[in-house]
Amino acid sequence: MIVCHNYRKRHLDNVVEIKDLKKTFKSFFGKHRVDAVKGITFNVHEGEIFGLLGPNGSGKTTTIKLLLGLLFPTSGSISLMNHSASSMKSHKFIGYLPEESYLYRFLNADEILHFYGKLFSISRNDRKKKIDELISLVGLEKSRKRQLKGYSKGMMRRIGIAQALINDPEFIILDEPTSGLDPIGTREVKDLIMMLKDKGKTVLLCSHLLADVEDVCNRIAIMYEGSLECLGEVSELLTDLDSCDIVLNKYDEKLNKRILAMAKEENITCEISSPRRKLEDLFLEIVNKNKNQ
Amino acid sequence: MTFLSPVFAIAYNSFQEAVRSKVFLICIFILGVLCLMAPLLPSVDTPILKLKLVLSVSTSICYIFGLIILIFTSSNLISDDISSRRIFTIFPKPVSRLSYLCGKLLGISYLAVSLMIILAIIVIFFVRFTYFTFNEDEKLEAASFFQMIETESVDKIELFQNGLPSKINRPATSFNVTFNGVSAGKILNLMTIRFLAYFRSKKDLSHDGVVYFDIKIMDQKSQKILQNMKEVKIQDGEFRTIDLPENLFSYSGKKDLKFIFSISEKSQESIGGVLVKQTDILLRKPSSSFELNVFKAFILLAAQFVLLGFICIMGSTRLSSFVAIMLALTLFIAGYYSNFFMTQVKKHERIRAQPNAKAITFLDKVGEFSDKYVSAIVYLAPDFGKYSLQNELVDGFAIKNSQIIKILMLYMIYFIGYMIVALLLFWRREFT
Repeated sequence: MIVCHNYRKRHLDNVVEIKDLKKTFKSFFGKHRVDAVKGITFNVHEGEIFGLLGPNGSGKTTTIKLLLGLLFPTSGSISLMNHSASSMKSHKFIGYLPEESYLYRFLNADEILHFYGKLFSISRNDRKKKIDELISLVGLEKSRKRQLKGYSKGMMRRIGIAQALINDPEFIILDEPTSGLDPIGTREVKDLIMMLKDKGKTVLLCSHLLADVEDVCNRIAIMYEGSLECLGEVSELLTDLDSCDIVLNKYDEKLNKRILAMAKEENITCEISSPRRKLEDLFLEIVNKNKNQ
Repeated sequence: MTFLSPVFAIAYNSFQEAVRSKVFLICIFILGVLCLMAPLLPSVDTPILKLKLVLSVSTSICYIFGLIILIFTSSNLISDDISSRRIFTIFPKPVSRLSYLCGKLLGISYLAVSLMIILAIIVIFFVRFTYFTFNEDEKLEAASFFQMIETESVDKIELFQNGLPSKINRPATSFNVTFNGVSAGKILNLMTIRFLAYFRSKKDLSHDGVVYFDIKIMDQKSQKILQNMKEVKIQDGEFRTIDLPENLFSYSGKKDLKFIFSISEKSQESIGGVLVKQTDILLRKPSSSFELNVFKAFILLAAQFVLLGFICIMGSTRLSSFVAIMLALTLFIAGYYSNFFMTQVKKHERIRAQPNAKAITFLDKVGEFSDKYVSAIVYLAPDFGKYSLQNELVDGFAIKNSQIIKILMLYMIYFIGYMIVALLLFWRREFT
C-alpha cells in the first residue's frame, strides 16, 4: 500500500513509545479501584519482534488495548508512529490479532476480508488481490466460501491472522497468535512472523508459550501485576555468562572423560550429556515424512 | 472517502447481519397472517369500506411488525459487537466512533427501507387480492378506491356578513376563497367543505337545517367569472364534497382561482350565517395511484423506524440492549401520543388556573410536577402517530412529495440531536 511506503520514508526508530503509562479501573461509584498498569515505560523499535510476557492479570492485554485506543490511559503517554494511540493516522499502519478471533460468524472468509479491507478504504481490485494472497498464506483456499460459524478454532485463528494483515501493516500486534493451532499451524505462524520481520515489519507479540517467544523475539518485556519487571534483548537476558556449553559433533567416551578430568583439576563442576531435540522438530519431521509418502 | 468507505462497509455489514438472521422470513410470516385473517374480517356494508378495512388492518400489522423487527435488530447492533468483542477488530482499524455510528445508522436505514418495500408489496397484494374476490358490481363500485385524491388548501379566505367584511370565528353570509397556483393538466372535480351553520328560529339559534349556496368561480387574473354554479344543498356541520364540472379546468400551467360562496335566498329566511374555517376547505384533485401512495406511506414509516432504531443504537452505546429497547419504546409512546399528553397537560393547567380552585394538596403538586415532566418528554420525539400518515393512506388522500420532504426534514433534526447524544455517550467509551 502507498501509505506504508510513506511511512517507510520517515525511518522512525521507535514505532511505539510508552512513557510512565498508568491505567486504573474504578467501579461506578469509585469505591473499588484496580491498578491494571502501574507506570510502565518501554519502546518498540522499528523492524524488531518485541515480546510482551507475563502471567494472567499482569496487564499485557490492558497495555495492548491502551495502544489501540480501546482504553484511555489514566496518566502517562503512548505514542504510536509519532501519533497518539487513538489517532486514526496511526491506525492505518496497524494490524491487530486479538487473543481470540472475534469475527462476524455469519460471513465467509472472503466476505470478512472484504469487510476489513473496506474499513481501510482499499480499492476493490487491490482488495481482491490481497485477499487471494492472504487466503493462500493462511491455507484456507478450500473453505473460503464457508461461513465462519462452521470454522474450527484453528481456522478462526488463521482467518484472524489474515484480517490483521489485510492492510499490509507496518506494525503488527499479535495477541496469543498460536492459541488453538496445532504444531504445524504454530510453526507456520512462527515462520510467518519471521517472514514479516524479514520484510521490515515491526511485531509486538504477546504469548504465554515462552518457547514460541524465545524462538522469534529480539527483545522482551516481562510484566507482573501491572509493573514492568524485565526488559531487554532475549539473547542477553537468557545468556548465563558465568557458565558455558560445549557442543561436539561426535560422541567420544575418551574425550568426555578427559574433559571431566580437566574440569576436576580446575575445581569446576562439569556435566556431559547428549543434546536433546525439540519435540516440535520431531513432530514436524514425522508429519512431513508421512505427508511426502 | 476515508470517512465514507468504513461507513458504507459497516452499513452493508449490519444489513447483511440482519438479513442472514432471517429477518425477512418474518415478512413471509406476516403475509401468511394477513391471508389467514382475510376471512375473519368483519363484514361491512360497501366494497370500498371493505377495502379500507383491509388496508387499515394490513397497514397496522405491518406497522407493529416493522416496529418490533427494527427495534430489536437495532438494539443488538452495537451491544452484540461489544459483547462478542468484535469491536476489538473494528476500532484498531481507521474507523472513528462517528463513522461507526453513521455506519450503523445507514445499516438500519437499508434494512428499514428494504423491509418496508417488501411489506408495501405484501399490503398491495393483499388489497388487490381482496378486490379480485369481489363480484363485477362490487368491483365497479370499489374502483374509485384505487384513485387517490390530492388536496390543496386555501391560500386566502374573506368572510362577509350581509355584504360587510366579517371577522374570523363569526358566522358569515358569504365568503370568498382563493387558491393560488392550482396545477394544470388535471381535472378538478371535487371540493370538500366543512362548516357550522347558525339558523334563526322563533326562540333561539339552532344548528339544524339546510343551507343553499350560490357558487361562482372566478379567474383571478382576468377577474372574469368562469361559471355560475347551481345551488348546492349542504347538511349542517358535515364534510361535504361539491362537484365541479370536469371541463372547467382544462388549461395549461398554473392558475389562481377564486370561489365565491353566498347563501342563497332560499336559506335567508332562517339562516344566520355559517362558521367556516380556512383549514376546513380543501380542493380535491385525482392524483397518484394507490400503489404509489402505499409506497410513499411505507417509506415514511421506514424513516420513522430508522429514527426509533437509532434511539436504540444511541441507548445501546452505554446501556444494555433491553434498556435501550425500553428507552426507544418510551420515546415512541411519548411521540405517538404526544398530542393526547399535551391536551391533558393543558387541561390540567386550565383547571389549576381557575380562580375557584380548591387549596393545593400534595397530590396536586405531584400532578403539576408530572405534567412538567410529561410536557418535557413529548418534545424528545416527534409525533409518530401524526407523521405516519396512515389515516391519509386509508382515507385515500394522496401523500404529497412536499409532505414527505417536510416530515423527513423534521426527522433529520431529531437524527442530528440523537447523533450528538450518541457521540457524547460513545466518544470516551472504553472496551475492557
